Amino acid sequence: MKLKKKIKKEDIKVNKVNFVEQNISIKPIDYYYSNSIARSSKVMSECRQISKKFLFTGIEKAS
Amino acid sequence: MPKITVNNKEIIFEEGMTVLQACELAGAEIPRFCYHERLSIAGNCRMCLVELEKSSKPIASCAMPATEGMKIKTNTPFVEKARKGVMEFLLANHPLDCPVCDQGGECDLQDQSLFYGMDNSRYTENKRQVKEKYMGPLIKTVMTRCIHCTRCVRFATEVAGIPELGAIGRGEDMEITTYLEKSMESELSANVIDLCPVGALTSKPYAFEARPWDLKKTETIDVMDAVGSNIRVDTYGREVKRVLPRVNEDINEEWISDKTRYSCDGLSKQRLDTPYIRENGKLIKASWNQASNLLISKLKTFDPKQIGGLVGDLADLEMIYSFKSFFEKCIGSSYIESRRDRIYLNPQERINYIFNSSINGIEEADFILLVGTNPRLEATILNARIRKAYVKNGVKIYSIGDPGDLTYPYKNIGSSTSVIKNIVSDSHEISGKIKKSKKPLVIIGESALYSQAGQYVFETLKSFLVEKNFIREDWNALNVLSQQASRVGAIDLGVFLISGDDNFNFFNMLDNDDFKFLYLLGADNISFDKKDKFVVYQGSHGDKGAEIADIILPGAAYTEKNGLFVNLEGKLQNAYKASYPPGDAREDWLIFKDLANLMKKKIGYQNAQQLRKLIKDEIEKKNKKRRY
Repeated sequence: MKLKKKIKKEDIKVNKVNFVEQNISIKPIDYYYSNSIARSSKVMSECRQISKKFLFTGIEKAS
Repeated sequence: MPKITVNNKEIIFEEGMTVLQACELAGAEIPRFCYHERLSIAGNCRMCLVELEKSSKPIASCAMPATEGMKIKTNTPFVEKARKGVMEFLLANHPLDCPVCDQGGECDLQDQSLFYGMDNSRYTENKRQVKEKYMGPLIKTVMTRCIHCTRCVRFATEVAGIPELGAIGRGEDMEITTYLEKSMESELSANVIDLCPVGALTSKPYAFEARPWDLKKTETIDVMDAVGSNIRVDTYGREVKRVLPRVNEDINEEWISDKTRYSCDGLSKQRLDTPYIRENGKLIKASWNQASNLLISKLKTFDPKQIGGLVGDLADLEMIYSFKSFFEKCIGSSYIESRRDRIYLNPQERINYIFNSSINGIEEADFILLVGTNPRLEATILNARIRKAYVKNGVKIYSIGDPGDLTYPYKNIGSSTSVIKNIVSDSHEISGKIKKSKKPLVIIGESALYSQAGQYVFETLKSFLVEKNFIREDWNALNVLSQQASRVGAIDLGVFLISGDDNFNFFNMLDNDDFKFLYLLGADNISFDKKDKFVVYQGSHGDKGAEIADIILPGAAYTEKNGLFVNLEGKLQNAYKASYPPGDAREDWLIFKDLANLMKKKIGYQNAQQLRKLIKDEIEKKNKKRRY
C-alpha cells in the first residue's frame, strides 16, 4: 500500500489562523502508568514509586 | 577504494572501518565481548585477537583501524592460542554457575567457551568475589560474573545519556556500579541486560521464570507508545514471560523502553475474562448472550444521535475499522472519536498528523525545535535518536515549553504562543538559524496542540515551513508527535469527529451531555461526568473504563491477536498473536461481527482476510481524497 505522495509546494494546503495568546505548558505524563496494561503491571508500579522518590527526595538524600 | 586481505581473500573495505568490520565483510567471524556496533570502541576484552602479517603480537581487531594492504589471518593456530589464553583469563574469575544463571542458553561467554575454553582450570587460587549492586527493580546483578567489558557503562553514557553507571577500581579489583548505588534513572535502562554478554546483569522480574529454549518466540509490534518498536514476545503457555527488542534500523534500532519491556506482567493481571452486567449498582458476571442482548436492547432505546463511541490508545486497525463499521452500519451513528482530549487535528492532508521526517531522518537534522513536547516520556526511543543526533552531529536543540531533563542539552526559548509569532515574523533569535539550516526539524507535541491555541500553533508553523521551503520532496520538517499507538491509524481510517470549525465536536457533545449511550473501545484515559449515560466498555483490562461501565465485554490484548498498527511516522506494521485471550475474552472484531449478526445487520466482513481487505481499501480511498 503506497501512502506517500510527491510533494509540490504550491499544492500544500495552508490555513491562515489568527494569533491566540496562550501558554504552552507541557502536560505532566504519568510515564509508567500511561495505559491499562502498564497500570496493571506490578513492575511498572515499582518503577513509578522509585521515579517519584527520585524526583522528590533522591537528589537531596544523596547529597 | 582500499583493499585488505583476510585469510588470503582480498576484499574492498570502506575508509574508517576497523579490522574487525573488514573481517566480517570478508565473512570471517570474530568472537567479541566488549565490541558493539552501536557503542564506542573500548578494546578491553581482547577476545577479538587476530594475526597481522609482520606483527609479532596478535592485534585487537575491534580497536585497530583497517588500512590499505593489511594481511590478516583469523583462523591460524597462533590466533586460536591467543584467544584461548584470553578465555582462560576471563574464566579464571568467572563462576561456574551456568546451571543457575538466567543467561544460560543465550550467553556469549558460554558460547565462546565452547570453542576457546579449556576443560580444566590451571587457576588454583580463590575466585574473585564481588558484592551485588542495587540497580533498581529491573536489573538483577551478579557482579562476580562480570568480565569488565563496559558495554553497560558505554550504553548508559552514550545512548541513554545518564552518567549513573561507571567503573571503580583497577585490574582484578575493577567493579561496575551505579554511583551511590541508586537505581538507574533512565527509561532505557534495561537495555543493558541485552548488552551484557554474560549473566552479570539479568532481568530481575524474569529471574528464574523460564529457560530460553522453553519459550515460544513471536515477532510483533509494541503498543506502549506510537513509535511501534519491533519486539519479540516470549511466551510459556499463554503467559507472556518477557519482551525483547528486535532490530529495526528505521525505528528502534535495537533498543526498547523499560515500559515496553516490563509492562508484560500486566497482561496477566486485572484481566477481563468474562462479560459483566451492572445490576443494582454492582457488576455481576454474565454470559455473552446476556450481555449482547442487553446491549442491543439498550441501543434500540436511544436515538443514534445520542450514541457516541470512543477508541482507546491500544487499538489496532482491525478493532478500529470494525468499531467504525458497527457504528455506521448497525447503529447508524457517526459520532466516534479517537483522540482522548481536545488535541487539534487537521485531517485534510496526511502530512498534518504524522512524523514526516521519519525517526531515521532525525539523525540528518541540523536544527531541532521542540514545541510543547517531552519526547523522553512521550516517545522514549525517538528521544534516543535525538540524543544520537546531538552526540553524532552536535545538532542545536531548542524547546518551546519546559520539558525538564531530556538527556541532552537544549535551550528553552519560552513557553508562549507569542514565541511562535516572533519566529514566523523573523523577529526571534532562532528565526535566522532555522532559515540557515538545510534540514530543520520541528516536532509538535500534543501539549502544544491542546485547546484553542493548538490550531494557531500548528497552522502557523506549517505555513512558515511551507513558505521557507522546508516541506519539500526530499525533506519534510513538519512533525507531529503522537503518543498513542492507535492514533495515526485511527485518523487514517477517519475516526474523528470534526464538524466545520468545531475541531472538538465530540468533546463538546460529551460535555453538553448530548450522548446518552457511550461505547468505550478500550478507552480508559478519558475523564468525563457519567451522569445518566449508559456506558459499554469493551477491552482487555478492568481499568478506569470498566469501573464506570454498565456492560463490560472482554476483549483480547495486543499480544493475543493479529493486528495492524500504523506508527507515528505513518508506517504500517503487522503485530502477531503470541498467546490467547483469557477465559471468555474474544478478539474485538469478532465481537462486533457477532453483535451485527444478532442485530440482523450486515457489517461487511465475515473473516479476518475480508476485514483486512476492507481496511486496505478504506485507507487507500481516504488517501486518494487527500493531496498529501
